[in-house]
Amino acid sequence: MTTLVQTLVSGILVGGLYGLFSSGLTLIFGITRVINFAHGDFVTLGMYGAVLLFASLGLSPLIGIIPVAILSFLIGAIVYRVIVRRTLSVKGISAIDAQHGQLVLTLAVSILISNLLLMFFGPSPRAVQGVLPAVYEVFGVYIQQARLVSFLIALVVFLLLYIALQRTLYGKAIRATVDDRDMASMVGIDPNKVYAVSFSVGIMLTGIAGCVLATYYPVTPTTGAGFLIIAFVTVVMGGLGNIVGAFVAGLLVGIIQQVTAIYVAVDLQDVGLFLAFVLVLVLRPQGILSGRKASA
Amino acid sequence: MRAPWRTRTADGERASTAASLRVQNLSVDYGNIRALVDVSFELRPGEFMGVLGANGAGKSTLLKSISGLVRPAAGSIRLGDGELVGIPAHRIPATGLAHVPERRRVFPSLSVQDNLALGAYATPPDRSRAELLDEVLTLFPRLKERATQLAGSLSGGEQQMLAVGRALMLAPRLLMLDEPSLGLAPVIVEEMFDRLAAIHRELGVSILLIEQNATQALEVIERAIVLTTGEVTFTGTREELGDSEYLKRAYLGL
Repeated sequence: MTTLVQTLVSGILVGGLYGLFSSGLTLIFGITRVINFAHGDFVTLGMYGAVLLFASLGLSPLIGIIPVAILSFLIGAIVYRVIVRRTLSVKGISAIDAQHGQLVLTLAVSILISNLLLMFFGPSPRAVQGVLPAVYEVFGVYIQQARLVSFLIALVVFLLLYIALQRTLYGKAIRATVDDRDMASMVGIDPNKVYAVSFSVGIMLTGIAGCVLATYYPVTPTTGAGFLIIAFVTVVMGGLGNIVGAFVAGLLVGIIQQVTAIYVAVDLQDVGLFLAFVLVLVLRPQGILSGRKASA
Repeated sequence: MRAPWRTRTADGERASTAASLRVQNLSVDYGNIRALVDVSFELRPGEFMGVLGANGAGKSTLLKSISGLVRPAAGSIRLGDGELVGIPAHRIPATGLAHVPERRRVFPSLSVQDNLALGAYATPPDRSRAELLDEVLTLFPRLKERATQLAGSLSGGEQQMLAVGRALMLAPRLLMLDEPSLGLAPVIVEEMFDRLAAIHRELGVSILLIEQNATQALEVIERAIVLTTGEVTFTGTREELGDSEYLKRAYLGL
């Protein structure tokens, strides 16, 4: 029984971070229809950001969140402006061709990021050591402080995103643009700005997830590849474009991984994940939280 | 702040918030097809003008090019003193032009009140949103009852009211409506036109109305143009149009 609770708790704690970076991916997809193949590498960038700030300035990743968030937003804005925007506004090509362009270009960004990181930091794992070292014991269940704090931060950031989309005028403008782009511009909303902001915010969430993940997870230049797969599975499970679905699915993915790792074999944790993924696709292809509107 | 459109001079002249619209030699191409050919007309400040014509005559294209969604091949569109051609679509609402497009196009996944709030996205900062909302809810009390409901769950008539209400939240100087009666039950159409007349009378805004239902339109408009395959083939007052064999021909396609 204790093992089960321990497994569930571990799954949920890591799942919150999956949920956060997956909500970034689904936000971008839901609004711009861009499938970002570089998404995992933005998690990696956030992690290296935390490592660098810690190693050079001694800044705890909990404070490092702020510069990492700002930098991630800016990098997102630049990637959108320089690369992604070109694939959205090409006249005379079909949507499929535009998506092929996005696939190739975001994949190129992914390769670029991981190789730049390899160039500067080398292939060996880097970690933020000794931050939030405490371990709590609650009724025989062990909870690492770093995991708990990371989870709570992910939860708060996600809730802030949700509230911003639901309650602020600009959040409503973003949702209106998803509903009807032309009509949105007829009330004065600039759709191109909405796309740029959404893409940048999506990358920012992802960077933040990476930053707090670095408190207990070592990073290498290719760490992001695994997260990309997790993000894709999570986003599809949650229902494409559904940010609440993505967060909930993130928790679920964390739990499934942990359950498989503990009760089957550690090496098979992603096999358990893909089995669950296939089951969701067969039974609920619209996502586990279907019936909720995209991005709501 | 006092709503300027509430004020009228003693002789019943309309307040200055209403804008004129001057369309000159406007042509629009869709690929090789010429959708509008050298269209010119003028709407005076505060006027209620109709755009009539058969299906495919270019009526919606005319409104879309005025609100910047379609880029004209040639011509000029002036709202008051400002040229609209070349301004991106999302900057047009700030000039005081509100467009209620065909099939209403409410934001379905947003609540009624959020739809109305977004209607005021480009409203001049000196206009009170609360006052505008009050005005809209007085005109369409049904929207108040439905405030927290998703717009997509409203009936067709309610969606049309919402679309018009959303446009009024801009405090427009010119209101353009594309077939507000489309797909609505006759009794709702009656009510809608009644509301449009009230908007024109009480808010003193200029209105440009596309309507397929000519009999209904003639009850409210003051003047109209008739479009036939992209060209203005008639301009005249309501009376002239009502008597005209021309109008009947245009509608029956003879």
